[in-house]
Amino acid sequence: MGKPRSSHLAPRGAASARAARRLPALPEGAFRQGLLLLALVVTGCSPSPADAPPASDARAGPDTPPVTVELFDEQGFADVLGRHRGRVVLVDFWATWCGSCKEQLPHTIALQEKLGEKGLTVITVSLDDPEQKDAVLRVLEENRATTANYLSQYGGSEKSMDVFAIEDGTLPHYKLYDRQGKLAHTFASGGRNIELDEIDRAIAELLRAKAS
Amino acid sequence: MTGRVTLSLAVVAVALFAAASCFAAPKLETGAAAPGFSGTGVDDKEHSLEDYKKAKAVVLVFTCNHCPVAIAYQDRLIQLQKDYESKGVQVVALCVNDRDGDRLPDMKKRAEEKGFNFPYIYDETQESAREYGATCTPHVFLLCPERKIAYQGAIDDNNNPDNVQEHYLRDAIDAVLAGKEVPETVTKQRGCSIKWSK
Repeated sequence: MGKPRSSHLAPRGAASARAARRLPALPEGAFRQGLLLLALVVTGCSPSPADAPPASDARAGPDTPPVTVELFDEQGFADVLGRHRGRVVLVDFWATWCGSCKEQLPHTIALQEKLGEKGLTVITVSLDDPEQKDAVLRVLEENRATTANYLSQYGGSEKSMDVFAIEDGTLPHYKLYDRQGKLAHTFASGGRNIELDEIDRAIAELLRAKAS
Repeated sequence: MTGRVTLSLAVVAVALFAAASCFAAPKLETGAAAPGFSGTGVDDKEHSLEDYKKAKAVVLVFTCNHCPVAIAYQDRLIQLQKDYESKGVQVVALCVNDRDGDRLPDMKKRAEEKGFNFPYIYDETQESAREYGATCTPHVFLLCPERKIAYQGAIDDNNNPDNVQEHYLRDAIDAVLAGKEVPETVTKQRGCSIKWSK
């Protein structure tokens, strides 16, 4: 993050003149994540998801698989969902700039560990700038995010909110798909605070509905 | 007064629609009368929409201290006020978050540090955000001379100032000042969720 900005996303028009400032990134909630990580280590909880992220082919063994993040767009998202047909899929849309997201990320990752074998696949999608991939990866690593992790090619833009249908433009945001690949629940934080319990309950219900 | 009643009905209608549908349509339609608001400013004075009667257009922005997206837009708001002050545009920043670091004492610090050239007001009732249908920070509403909603959504199309291509808010202000149709009246706001009390 502290590195000079590369400019492969070339600005157009007056934008560049008006805008020589950088996006700040506040490590909100990092301490809490540290504690969680510590707790995982102490309890010897070794994450070995049944459904490992595509970019990671590490075998589940004594060593935890490497945490990875891949850039994707709406087509990539559709493909990922398609690959997991038959499983319940939870998608956690987050960003390093979103404090509440980072507070809730450990919960999402724990779900993968807890319910992966029961048929849940957890996907995280960061809406950070692609240039901030390192910062994204750092947060994911701090959380031992052995989930399948993606980064929107469109970054923190309106396009991201559009293509992923985040209607209220607000993070945190979750989408939950049933085993048929149909969107079953959307948890949007725009009008109210999201209770993590409701996500858990919705997942449990969808997992109970066996593939028919 | 009748305007108020009509507005309340409209709000109810929209609320019913929103409850019946997953699609998060804006709570206020373009052209709807702008709801009032009130709160305490970083100047310790009470502020309300009526205080800005003289302004041709009001840019009401729901924002806060902590959210990095809101922070990323601070300088853009300061610049906006600078550029449009002489044209009769007034930026008014509202914070409604129920969160440590986002309440009045910290807002005062931020306004001082950044040199905000616009009022920064705390509405702890959160009613303003409910009435406008604000969901995140920052989320802007442009009120035209008749104090109707002329534009709502994002300030521009990218959190990163280097990557901005569409200046939605500026385009809307220019249109309103010129008495023209606003090219895009609704865009998708982006940011951190408003921290609701309940």
